[in-house]
Amino acid sequence: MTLTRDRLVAETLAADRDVADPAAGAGREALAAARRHQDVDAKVCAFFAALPQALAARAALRRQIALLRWTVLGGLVLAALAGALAAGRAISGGEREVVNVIWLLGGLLGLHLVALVIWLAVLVAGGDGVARQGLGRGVVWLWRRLAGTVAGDPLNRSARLALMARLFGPPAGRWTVSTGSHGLWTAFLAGGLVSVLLVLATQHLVFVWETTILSAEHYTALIGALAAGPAALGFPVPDAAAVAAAEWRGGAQAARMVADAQGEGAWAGLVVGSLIVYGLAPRLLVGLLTGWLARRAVRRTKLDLTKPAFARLIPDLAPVMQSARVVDASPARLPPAVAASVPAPAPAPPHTPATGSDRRRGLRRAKANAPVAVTGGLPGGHHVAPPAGPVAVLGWEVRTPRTGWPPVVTPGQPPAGGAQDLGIVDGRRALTAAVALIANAPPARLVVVADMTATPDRGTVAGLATLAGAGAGETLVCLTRESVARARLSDEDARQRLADWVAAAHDAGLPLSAVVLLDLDAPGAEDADRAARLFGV
Amino acid sequence: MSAPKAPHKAATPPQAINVAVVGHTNVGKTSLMRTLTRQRGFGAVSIRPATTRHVEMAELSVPGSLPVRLYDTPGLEDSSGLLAYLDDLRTRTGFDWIDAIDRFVAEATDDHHPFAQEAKSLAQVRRSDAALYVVDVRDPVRARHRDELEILGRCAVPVLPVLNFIADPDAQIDHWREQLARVNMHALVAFDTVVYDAAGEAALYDKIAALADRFAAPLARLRDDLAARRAQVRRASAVEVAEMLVDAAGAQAGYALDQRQAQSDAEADLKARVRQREAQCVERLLDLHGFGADDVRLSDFAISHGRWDQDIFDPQTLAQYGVSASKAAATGAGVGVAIDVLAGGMTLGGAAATGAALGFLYDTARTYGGRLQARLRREVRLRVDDATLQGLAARQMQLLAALLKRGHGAIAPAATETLAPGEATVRQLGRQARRARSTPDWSALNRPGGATSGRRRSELVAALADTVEAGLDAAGA
Repeated sequence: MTLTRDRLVAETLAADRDVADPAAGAGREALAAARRHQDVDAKVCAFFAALPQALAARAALRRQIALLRWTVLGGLVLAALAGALAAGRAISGGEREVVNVIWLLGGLLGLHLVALVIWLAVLVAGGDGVARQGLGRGVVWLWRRLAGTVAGDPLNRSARLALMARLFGPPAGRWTVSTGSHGLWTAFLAGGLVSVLLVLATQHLVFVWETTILSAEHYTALIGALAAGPAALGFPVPDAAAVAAAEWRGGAQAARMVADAQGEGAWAGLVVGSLIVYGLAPRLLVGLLTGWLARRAVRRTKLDLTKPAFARLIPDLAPVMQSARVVDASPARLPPAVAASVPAPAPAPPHTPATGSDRRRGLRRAKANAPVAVTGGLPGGHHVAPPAGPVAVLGWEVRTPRTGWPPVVTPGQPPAGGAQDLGIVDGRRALTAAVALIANAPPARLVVVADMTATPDRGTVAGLATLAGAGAGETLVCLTRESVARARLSDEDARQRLADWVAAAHDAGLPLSAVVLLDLDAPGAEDADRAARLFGV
Repeated sequence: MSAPKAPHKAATPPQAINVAVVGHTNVGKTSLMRTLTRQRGFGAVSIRPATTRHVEMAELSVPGSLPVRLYDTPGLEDSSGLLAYLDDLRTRTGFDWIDAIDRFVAEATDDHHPFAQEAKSLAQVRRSDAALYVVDVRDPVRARHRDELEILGRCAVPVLPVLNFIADPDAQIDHWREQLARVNMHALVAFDTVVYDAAGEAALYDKIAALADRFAAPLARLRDDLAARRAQVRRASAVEVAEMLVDAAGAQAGYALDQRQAQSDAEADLKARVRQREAQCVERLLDLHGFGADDVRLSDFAISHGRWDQDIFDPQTLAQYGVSASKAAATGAGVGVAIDVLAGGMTLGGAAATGAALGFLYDTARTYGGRLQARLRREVRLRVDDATLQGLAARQMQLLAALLKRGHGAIAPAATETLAPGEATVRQLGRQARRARSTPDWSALNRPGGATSGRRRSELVAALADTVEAGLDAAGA
């Protein structure tokens, strides 16, 4: 029962989003309490149970349940009174001195049997139809009205709604409402039984049957069949001769004759026995069965976690990720984002080209650990001097530009302004071949075309360092695909990417001005001029 | 050989399923972790190289089974250099591959080792039951990728390539598939960390299970648990939208017929309440999906700080969703508002009221009793018009569809295709929501303490939520 109560508390408190805020102080403590449980349903219950408002919710629920109990009790008393009155009228309401046993049994049991058959039919037909009709619904309705007028404050209202949903909504509703109906009918029939016993105890009744068109055999058979049930339970019932003798033909004389022929209490046994066997007992049994089913359903129904009020708590209560921790820590001394150290198999310290930027390089080296902050364009992007001699062009892990490889930088001119083509380098073997070519006939300027969409990493640094040390007069990095990179990155990220490339070039031993932006796929107005100077066209 | 042994090779039964997430630098390993763990704050993500320098473990709990531990590793930056280093080590020592890798991992623990970062990744791969090799399919397959695959292929751990950024226009999925097949990697999974795909995630766990089949049962459990969670959130979101529609449809504002100037006040009041309710719905939807109102930029849906930028009562807003707001002007009220005046016992637009009220005499009497009183007091009631209801439905469905498609690894608004809800769905939602008009008690906007929550209101909310879910199915979310 505590779990059911906890679920009801959760359903009551979930209505108010501010109460059930996992980010608030009380909510955080409740979260910690709830995490101990395994099952999500139990976690949610524990969370709400640990909230400070849970106490008030429990009190409100107790009040509502008490009210419901009183309503049910009132209904039962009313039903018993109604049953007593109805049975009393049926058994002693006539003007005549004799009682027609068929009419009597019909009056006592008829309506009940019809209602029971309808209940069964609706149940078999399926759906939650049984929860919407019948006497049980009336009790619920009455309780709702009473509770609605008695309890006005929001918590009581939420408690009532929570109880309504859990007890009378699907899936328990069909059984609770049925149990209510059967309970009321049981009370009705019990009241009737008391009333019948009272009349039988205090009045002398003569039970008869009568007919106009049917034969006596029909009646002996019918009453014999009816009597089979009570007789099986040990009630005294009239035998065939007594039934035959109880035919009513009218007149005071006849009454005396029939009365004389009646056995000791046999007819009273038949009436009381039928009331119990065909009325009270089936209702009680079905009522107990549905009551058990209702209890089970109420207890087994978990919280509806698709309710937004619960669903929002699940990431906090039962996160997909249970825990996270660092299992292998970062290096104690962080090397710069792009490591300055050149990997072992690569040629040792790159040859530093003789350019006029040594002073600036020194400055950069001094704060090599700090990320390079390049705001705006590139340090040397706009001041490319014409080459001092022959130019060689090499692609570093770059896609073939739109104009093919080597790229046509000035319309009408040969590709790359007639520069020596070292191909697109991808991988160690191609790099070694390119370095050999450069060493064979060192160009005055080596243009390394690289992709701005790529992230420069230690592998890039190692490659650039190898190229820079291959013997060319100067090495420049031409970053292409700027338009694609800018489409993928925010302005801030694009600036950072340029800074990373400058830092990578620097770490490879190149001057800061060695990185030049030149979009070979979507050249802008300035690009043609820059390309002409870069390749010496 | 004193190589570190992977724990699963010990005699003790495994405590967890260990899966390493490896790949070149900046291909979205940490983003993949974020999406798989549903934690927007996991690790650090940037466009810079080597953002992650440590190995961080995230444990995914699997109900009633072994947990799945995912390890985020530093990127393999210089795989070509590492391959040469390992080759050199092998020729020097005569070791086979596994021994060489284990020796390297044991030696390179020093932070000054040139391949210390790669060693961390490889050590984790060696300790794991499977490795997810993340690639950015916007890049072509390069020599460094082949070197990475060569090294990973020698680690004696099953490797599953994960193709990231497949939703990008530059993605070259076929090229990658073909190139991976050349190195005998036929099982791969396409999973975008930015544009979330539940089926892709399920396929990812299924394929790990296929590669490490002794863990098939717990992995299937994890997959099912994730599917159940998703269904739960989806339903809760649909209910949230449905509740908002019921509240908006039932919202009323009244003014006395003889006080014409009160009309604009009542109208403004009604609109303010509906706007606020919509904002609340947006906030709750973001909350349900684990996105804060401010920490996710939803510029592709024109939402900022948890509110739609465009006012729902702006006729141009409705036009965007294919809803025409023409009738409102004719009734004399302002845009987005319909007048419900009771003249001679006839209600305008009362047809909607009758259907729901039939057969429920008590409520009907109460409802019409209220209306009758209003008429006797010569009061006019304003409601939200049909077009606005449809607009509200369309907007929230669009947001919901987008949220369902958004991975927690998304750091910027993705260029997701607009998942506009179907016109039929929106019209049906408007039709269904109209049933709430006859019962102002159902709307939380009329009762500050909260709406009444009877069986029929719950049924209407459930029916609306069903329609929302059907609409999401149709939109492919």
